Amino acid sequence: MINAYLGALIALGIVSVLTALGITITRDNLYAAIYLAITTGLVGAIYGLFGITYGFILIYLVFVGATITITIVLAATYRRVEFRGGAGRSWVLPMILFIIAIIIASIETTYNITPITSQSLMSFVSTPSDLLLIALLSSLLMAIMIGLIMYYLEVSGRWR
Amino acid sequence: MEVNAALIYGFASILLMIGYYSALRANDLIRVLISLELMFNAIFLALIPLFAVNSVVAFGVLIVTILTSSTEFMTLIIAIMALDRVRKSVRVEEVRAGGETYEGARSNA
Repeated sequence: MINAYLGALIALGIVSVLTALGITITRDNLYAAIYLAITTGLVGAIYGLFGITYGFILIYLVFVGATITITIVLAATYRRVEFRGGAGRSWVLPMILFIIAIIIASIETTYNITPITSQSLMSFVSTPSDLLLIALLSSLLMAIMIGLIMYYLEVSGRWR
Repeated sequence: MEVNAALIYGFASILLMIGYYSALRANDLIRVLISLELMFNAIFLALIPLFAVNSVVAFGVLIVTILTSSTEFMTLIIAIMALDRVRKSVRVEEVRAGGETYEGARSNA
Protein backbone atom coordinates (compact mmCIF):
# COMPACT_ATOMS: atom_id res chain seq x y z
CA MET A 1 0.00 0.00 0.00
CA ILE A 2 1.46 3.32 -1.09
CA ASN A 3 0.99 6.04 1.46
CA ALA A 4 0.04 9.59 0.48
CA TYR A 5 3.57 10.88 0.98
CA LEU A 6 5.18 8.35 -1.35
CA GLY A 7 2.35 8.81 -3.85
CA ALA A 8 2.93 12.58 -3.92
CA LEU A 9 6.65 12.03 -4.55
CA ILE A 10 5.99 9.55 -7.37
CA ALA A 11 3.40 11.88 -8.94
CA LEU A 12 5.75 14.88 -8.79
CA GLY A 13 8.60 12.83 -10.24
CA ILE A 14 6.53 11.39 -13.09
CA VAL A 15 5.11 14.81 -14.06
CA SER A 16 8.59 16.35 -13.94
CA VAL A 17 9.92 13.59 -16.23
CA LEU A 18 6.98 14.14 -18.61
CA THR A 19 7.60 17.90 -18.78
CA ALA A 20 11.33 17.20 -19.29
CA LEU A 21 10.36 14.97 -22.22
CA GLY A 22 8.36 17.95 -23.51
CA ILE A 23 11.61 19.94 -23.71
CA THR A 24 13.06 17.30 -26.02
CA ILE A 25 9.92 16.77 -28.08
CA THR A 26 8.85 20.36 -28.75
CA ARG A 27 10.44 22.13 -31.69
CA ASP A 28 9.83 25.66 -30.42
CA ASN A 29 12.42 27.18 -28.06
CA LEU A 30 9.83 29.21 -26.14
CA TYR A 31 7.75 26.17 -25.25
CA ALA A 32 10.92 24.29 -24.32
CA ALA A 33 11.83 27.09 -21.87
CA ILE A 34 8.32 27.05 -20.39
CA TYR A 35 8.50 23.26 -19.97
CA LEU A 36 11.86 23.79 -18.25
CA ALA A 37 10.27 26.25 -15.80
CA ILE A 38 7.56 23.70 -14.99
CA THR A 39 10.15 20.94 -14.48
CA THR A 40 12.23 23.13 -12.17
CA GLY A 41 9.13 24.14 -10.24
CA LEU A 42 8.27 20.48 -9.73
CA VAL A 43 11.82 19.71 -8.53
CA GLY A 44 11.41 22.62 -6.09
CA ALA A 45 8.09 21.11 -5.01
CA ILE A 46 9.90 17.83 -4.17
CA TYR A 47 12.20 19.89 -1.92
CA GLY A 48 9.09 21.34 -0.28
CA LEU A 49 7.66 17.83 0.11
CA PHE A 50 10.74 16.77 2.09
CA GLY A 51 10.48 19.82 4.32
CA ILE A 52 13.63 21.49 2.92
CA THR A 53 12.09 24.95 2.98
CA TYR A 54 15.31 26.86 2.32
CA GLY A 55 16.08 24.75 -0.73
CA PHE A 56 12.55 25.27 -1.99
CA ILE A 57 12.86 29.06 -1.56
CA LEU A 58 16.34 29.19 -3.14
CA ILE A 59 15.28 27.17 -6.19
CA TYR A 60 12.15 29.25 -6.72
CA LEU A 61 13.79 32.62 -5.99
CA VAL A 62 17.17 32.29 -7.70
CA PHE A 63 16.70 29.54 -10.27
CA VAL A 64 13.08 29.82 -11.43
CA GLY A 65 12.66 33.49 -10.57
CA ALA A 66 15.85 34.85 -12.09
CA THR A 67 17.75 32.43 -14.31
CA ILE A 68 14.90 30.60 -16.02
CA THR A 69 12.88 33.80 -16.44
CA ILE A 70 15.80 35.28 -18.41
CA THR A 71 16.07 32.02 -20.35
CA ILE A 72 12.36 32.27 -21.28
CA VAL A 73 12.90 35.86 -22.44
CA LEU A 74 15.96 34.76 -24.45
CA ALA A 75 14.03 31.85 -25.97
CA ALA A 76 11.19 34.21 -26.87
CA THR A 77 13.71 36.56 -28.52
CA TYR A 78 15.33 33.78 -30.53
CA ARG A 79 12.08 31.94 -31.08
CA ARG A 80 12.28 29.63 -34.04
CA VAL A 81 11.30 26.17 -35.13
CA GLU A 82 14.41 24.14 -34.62
CA PHE A 83 15.62 21.68 -37.20
CA ARG A 84 16.97 18.62 -35.50
CA GLY A 85 20.51 17.45 -36.04
CA GLY A 86 23.43 16.50 -33.90
CA ALA A 87 23.76 12.98 -32.55
CA GLY A 88 21.64 10.14 -33.80
CA ARG A 89 18.75 8.50 -31.98
CA SER A 90 20.82 5.44 -31.19
CA TRP A 91 22.16 7.37 -28.17
CA VAL A 92 18.89 6.58 -26.40
CA LEU A 93 20.03 2.99 -25.75
CA PRO A 94 23.11 3.74 -23.56
CA MET A 95 21.08 6.38 -21.73
CA ILE A 96 18.35 3.88 -20.89
CA LEU A 97 21.05 1.43 -19.76
CA PHE A 98 22.52 4.14 -17.52
CA ILE A 99 19.12 4.81 -15.91
CA ILE A 100 18.56 1.09 -15.31
CA ALA A 101 22.08 0.75 -13.84
CA ILE A 102 21.51 3.66 -11.45
CA ILE A 103 18.17 2.26 -10.27
CA ILE A 104 19.56 -1.27 -9.82
CA ALA A 105 22.64 0.03 -8.01
CA SER A 106 20.64 2.17 -5.62
CA ILE A 107 17.62 -0.07 -5.05
CA GLU A 108 19.70 -2.62 -3.16
CA THR A 109 20.54 -0.04 -0.53
CA THR A 110 18.33 0.24 2.47
CA TYR A 111 19.02 3.95 2.61
CA ASN A 112 15.82 5.76 3.46
CA ILE A 113 15.06 9.45 3.50
CA THR A 114 12.78 11.07 6.00
CA PRO A 115 11.46 14.62 5.82
CA ILE A 116 13.63 17.00 7.80
CA THR A 117 12.54 19.91 9.89
CA SER A 118 13.49 23.50 9.17
CA GLN A 119 14.95 23.86 12.66
CA SER A 120 17.91 21.69 11.69
CA LEU A 121 18.80 24.19 8.98
CA MET A 122 18.58 27.19 11.27
CA SER A 123 22.07 26.45 12.59
CA PHE A 124 23.48 27.04 9.11
CA VAL A 125 21.99 30.50 8.74
CA SER A 126 22.91 31.50 12.28
CA THR A 127 26.63 30.70 11.88
CA PRO A 128 28.73 33.80 10.95
CA SER A 129 31.11 31.85 8.70
CA ASP A 130 28.22 30.40 6.72
CA LEU A 131 26.62 33.82 6.40
CA LEU A 132 30.01 35.04 5.13
CA LEU A 133 29.94 32.23 2.53
CA ILE A 134 26.54 33.37 1.28
CA ALA A 135 27.68 37.02 1.21
CA LEU A 136 30.87 36.13 -0.71
CA LEU A 137 28.99 34.01 -3.23
CA SER A 138 26.44 36.77 -3.76
CA SER A 139 29.29 39.28 -4.23
CA LEU A 140 30.93 36.93 -6.74
CA LEU A 141 27.62 36.66 -8.59
CA MET A 142 27.25 40.45 -8.75
CA ALA A 143 30.90 40.99 -9.78
CA ILE A 144 30.55 38.48 -12.62
CA MET A 145 27.27 40.10 -13.68
CA ILE A 146 28.94 43.53 -13.89
CA GLY A 147 31.84 42.02 -15.84
CA LEU A 148 29.42 40.32 -18.24
CA ILE A 149 27.48 43.52 -18.83
CA MET A 150 30.75 45.34 -19.58
CA TYR A 151 31.77 42.52 -21.93
CA TYR A 152 28.47 42.66 -23.77
CA LEU A 153 28.72 46.45 -24.13
CA GLU A 154 32.27 45.98 -25.46
CA VAL A 155 31.12 43.42 -28.04
CA SER A 156 28.10 45.45 -29.11
CA GLY A 157 30.29 48.55 -29.55
CA ARG A 158 28.57 50.72 -26.97
CA TRP A 159 31.45 50.63 -24.45
CA ARG A 160 34.16 53.19 -25.10
CA MET B 1 7.04 8.49 5.96
CA GLU B 2 10.29 6.97 4.73
CA VAL B 3 11.23 6.93 1.07
CA ASN B 4 13.93 4.79 -0.50
CA ALA B 5 16.68 6.91 -2.04
CA ALA B 6 16.55 4.74 -5.19
CA LEU B 7 13.34 6.47 -6.22
CA ILE B 8 14.95 9.92 -6.16
CA TYR B 9 18.16 8.69 -7.81
CA GLY B 10 16.02 7.06 -10.52
CA PHE B 11 14.12 10.25 -11.27
CA ALA B 12 17.37 12.27 -11.18
CA SER B 13 19.10 9.92 -13.63
CA ILE B 14 16.10 10.03 -15.98
CA LEU B 15 16.13 13.87 -15.95
CA LEU B 16 19.92 13.88 -16.49
CA MET B 17 19.70 11.56 -19.47
CA ILE B 18 16.82 13.54 -21.01
CA GLY B 19 19.00 16.66 -20.64
CA TYR B 20 21.97 14.90 -22.27
CA TYR B 21 19.82 13.65 -25.14
CA SER B 22 18.27 17.08 -25.69
CA ALA B 23 21.73 18.70 -25.73
CA LEU B 24 23.06 16.05 -28.15
CA ARG B 25 20.17 16.56 -30.56
CA ALA B 26 20.23 20.37 -30.41
CA ASN B 27 21.19 22.56 -33.33
CA ASP B 28 20.53 25.77 -31.48
CA LEU B 29 22.54 27.30 -28.62
CA ILE B 30 19.33 28.29 -26.83
CA ARG B 31 18.27 24.65 -26.76
CA VAL B 32 21.72 23.67 -25.44
CA LEU B 33 21.29 26.24 -22.63
CA ILE B 34 17.84 24.86 -21.77
CA SER B 35 19.26 21.32 -21.74
CA LEU B 36 22.05 22.40 -19.38
CA GLU B 37 19.50 23.88 -16.99
CA LEU B 38 17.58 20.59 -17.12
CA MET B 39 20.78 18.75 -16.19
CA PHE B 40 21.18 21.02 -13.16
CA ASN B 41 17.61 20.12 -12.14
CA ALA B 42 18.78 16.51 -11.98
CA ILE B 43 21.71 17.59 -9.80
CA PHE B 44 19.34 19.41 -7.42
CA LEU B 45 17.19 16.29 -7.21
CA ALA B 46 20.22 14.07 -6.51
CA LEU B 47 21.18 16.40 -3.64
CA ILE B 48 18.03 15.57 -1.63
CA PRO B 49 19.36 12.30 -0.08
CA LEU B 50 22.37 14.25 1.23
CA PHE B 51 19.98 16.20 3.46
CA ALA B 52 19.19 13.00 5.34
CA VAL B 53 22.89 12.45 6.12
CA ASN B 54 23.96 15.94 7.15
CA SER B 55 21.46 18.67 6.50
CA VAL B 56 23.81 21.57 7.27
CA VAL B 57 26.49 20.38 4.85
CA ALA B 58 23.84 19.59 2.24
CA PHE B 59 22.41 23.08 2.59
CA GLY B 60 25.87 24.59 2.06
CA VAL B 61 26.38 22.43 -1.04
CA LEU B 62 22.94 23.46 -2.32
CA ILE B 63 23.69 27.18 -1.90
CA VAL B 64 27.04 26.86 -3.68
CA THR B 65 25.42 24.79 -6.46
CA ILE B 66 22.52 27.20 -7.04
CA LEU B 67 24.64 30.38 -7.02
CA THR B 68 27.42 28.97 -9.21
CA SER B 69 24.93 27.47 -11.68
CA SER B 70 23.06 30.78 -11.87
CA THR B 71 26.34 32.60 -12.56
CA GLU B 72 27.24 30.01 -15.17
CA PHE B 73 23.93 30.39 -16.96
CA MET B 74 24.15 34.18 -16.93
CA THR B 75 27.63 33.86 -18.48
CA LEU B 76 26.25 31.54 -21.15
CA ILE B 77 23.32 33.87 -21.87
CA ILE B 78 25.67 36.83 -22.35
CA ALA B 79 27.98 34.65 -24.47
CA ILE B 80 25.05 33.66 -26.70
CA MET B 81 23.98 37.32 -27.06
CA ALA B 82 27.57 38.37 -27.85
CA LEU B 83 27.88 35.53 -30.40
CA ASP B 84 24.65 36.67 -32.03
CA ARG B 85 26.03 40.21 -32.21
CA VAL B 86 29.23 39.04 -33.91
CA ARG B 87 28.06 36.11 -36.06
CA LYS B 88 24.36 37.04 -36.53
CA SER B 89 23.40 33.49 -35.64
CA VAL B 90 22.93 31.23 -32.61
CA ARG B 91 23.39 27.93 -34.40
CA VAL B 92 25.77 25.40 -32.89
CA GLU B 93 27.78 25.25 -36.13
CA GLU B 94 28.71 28.91 -35.72
CA VAL B 95 30.79 28.19 -32.60
CA ARG B 96 34.36 27.67 -33.78
CA ALA B 97 37.73 27.99 -32.09
CA GLY B 98 40.22 30.56 -33.32
CA GLY B 99 37.85 32.96 -35.01
CA GLU B 100 39.33 32.50 -38.47
CA THR B 101 35.87 32.46 -40.02
CA TYR B 102 34.95 35.57 -38.05
CA GLU B 103 37.68 37.58 -39.75
CA GLY B 104 36.42 36.45 -43.12
CA ALA B 105 32.84 37.28 -42.25
CA ARG B 106 33.83 40.74 -41.05
CA SER B 107 35.79 41.51 -44.22
CA ASN B 108 32.79 40.48 -46.31
CA ALA B 109 30.46 42.76 -44.37
